[in-house]
Amino acid sequence: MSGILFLAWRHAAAHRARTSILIACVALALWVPWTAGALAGQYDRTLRARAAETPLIIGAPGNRYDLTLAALYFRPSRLETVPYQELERLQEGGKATFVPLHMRFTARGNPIVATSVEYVEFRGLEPAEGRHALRLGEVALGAEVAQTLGLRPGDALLSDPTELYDISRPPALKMRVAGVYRPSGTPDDGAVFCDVRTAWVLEGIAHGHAPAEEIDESLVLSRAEESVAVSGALMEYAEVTEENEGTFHYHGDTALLPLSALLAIPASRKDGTLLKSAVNAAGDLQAVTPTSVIDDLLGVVFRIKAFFDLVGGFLLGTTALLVYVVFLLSSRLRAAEMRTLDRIGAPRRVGAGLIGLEAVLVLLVAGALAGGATAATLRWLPDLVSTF
Amino acid sequence: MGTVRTLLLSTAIALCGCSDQLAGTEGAHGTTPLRSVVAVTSGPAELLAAAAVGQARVERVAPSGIPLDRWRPDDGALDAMVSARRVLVLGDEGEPWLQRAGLPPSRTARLEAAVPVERWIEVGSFTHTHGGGESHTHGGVVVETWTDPDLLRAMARRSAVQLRSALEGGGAAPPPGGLDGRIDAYAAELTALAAALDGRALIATHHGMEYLCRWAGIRLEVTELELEGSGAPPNDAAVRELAELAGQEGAQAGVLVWPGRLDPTFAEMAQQELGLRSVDFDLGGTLSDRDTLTRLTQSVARLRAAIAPE
Repeated sequence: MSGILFLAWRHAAAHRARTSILIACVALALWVPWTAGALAGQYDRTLRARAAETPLIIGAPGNRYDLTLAALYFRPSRLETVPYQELERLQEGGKATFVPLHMRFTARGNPIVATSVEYVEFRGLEPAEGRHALRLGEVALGAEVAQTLGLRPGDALLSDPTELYDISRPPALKMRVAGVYRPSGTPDDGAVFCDVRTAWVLEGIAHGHAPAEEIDESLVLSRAEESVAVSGALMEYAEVTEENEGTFHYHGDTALLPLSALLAIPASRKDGTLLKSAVNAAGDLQAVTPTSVIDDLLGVVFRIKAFFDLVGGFLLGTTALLVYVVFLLSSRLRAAEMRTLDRIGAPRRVGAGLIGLEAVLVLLVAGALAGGATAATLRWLPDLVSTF
Repeated sequence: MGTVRTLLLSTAIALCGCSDQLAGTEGAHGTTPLRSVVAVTSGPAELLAAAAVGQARVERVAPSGIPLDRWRPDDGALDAMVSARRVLVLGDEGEPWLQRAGLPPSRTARLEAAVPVERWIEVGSFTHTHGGGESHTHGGVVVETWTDPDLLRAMARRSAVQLRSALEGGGAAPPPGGLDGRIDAYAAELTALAAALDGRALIATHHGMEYLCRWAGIRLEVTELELEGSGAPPNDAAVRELAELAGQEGAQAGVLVWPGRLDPTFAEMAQQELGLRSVDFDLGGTLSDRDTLTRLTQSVARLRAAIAPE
């Protein structure tokens, strides 16, 4: 170590408190904009990539931000439903492939995404174990869900009850795990996938129970020639098994079974444009382009970004002033030390070099700390996009 | 916690700004290869798929002879259907397993969609008993729509468009007009049956003949014995009704038509005690070594021969 570097190091070490405070201030001033910038870049890429991969979302008229965030990130929201017959009607038009989505339920806090096999094909989800959920009462887990809950194919997963003390509401459904998907690095990793029919069981629109003639008479409210009225306390099957699967049935018009949204995958950009225009012109549904919605969302909050840029700049400026003042005062306190160096024949620039080197050391250590803190933040901060 | 996350994400979004231009909206389908076949589980679907794209590109995924309302696809059958470019099915009414299996909607073609709502035949609910057992109720729509020549033609037109567009360029087109000619022959056979009946009613054990009888103008009396090959005694009320119908000589054709499984014991009893000759009638719903139209046409011819004056 050269003499001047050694002297700078010893001086910094001799004034630990002052040096530590300086390093902390500088590191903090660097950490905030670095982390914000890295996070911004990461979320920018993630948000836009997910949106860009999804050509069109169709749903009931209402808040298009809710619709988009629910369809892309499974964000819980009270969307108006779309009857299943709309999917069939749109499919008849031949402009696109339509994928049903139903997202009103959770299983141990994870969103249950009820859809069809086209969704997993579209998102490129590949089973790491088992297979897709193709049967009533089956689920396939995103990689993160499987890891967190420690579940494998063949295990069971209970849905979260919606109305704990209302016996007329469907009970929690015990669902069989049919497969686990490979990690995709998208919100799909945190979801539980099943067929839309399973969601209708969770809704209570479809259910299975013992045949009407075998029901306990205490649960029969009335028997007419053409119908049997049964108490809401009748226990429905809480699990779909090979034995009772055949008893599951729908009530009401199956064409009106509810969906939360539809993903539309047009064959061409032209088909997509025609489809979007036709849907929005008809008025009973709305079609949105996710990239437009995300851009609008970002545009609305752009002013907040400018504010954060200003705060970051102010923080850096005040910290730079603080460092300057500290070293200025330090140089005055070290006047005697400088005179000694001068008397023993050291060149005049050595004094300035000592202070400069000490400042560089502080900046280097602070930079390293800020870099480590930024990396740790990015590593440990929850994935806000997937849990949005 | 949720509020904090929302705040953090809003902050992140705010920091992102909106520098990027709109990305393209073209989506990419998954890379899962689909097989250029039409998967079928019923006789009518096989008939119409073969007529549309050729028999070589039709794949059976259900075993022969199993009634459509009792079949449950195993994992292999489900995988076969999901990986086929198209699945041609009757619909939820005709194939109840569809209510419990997740077929891809965009690749599943339903023959029931070709049937206008007003053309469906509903049979009213009725209360009855099995022997001395508890009374219970049945009812619903009759699913054998393909037995009506006009509806079969409508299904053929619809499925041809759907299947050919999905499998275009994948093989030789079937001979034009072949199916139409065969439907004409079946319709002619039905017309001949109606003429042979000369206003007399047919007595059947199942509602499955409702559509063909309506098309041909044949009066149909249905008495559901519900024997189902289980060895259980027949429905008492149905037997009484059958006896009443059999007693109306001249108003009915003197035959008991079995569109479902023929019960030899009851058939013999009906012959001896009620004077009704039993005739098996294959509605062609299940998969078989002979196609649906052949079985239907032969069944009508057999029935016509049975009611011909001796």
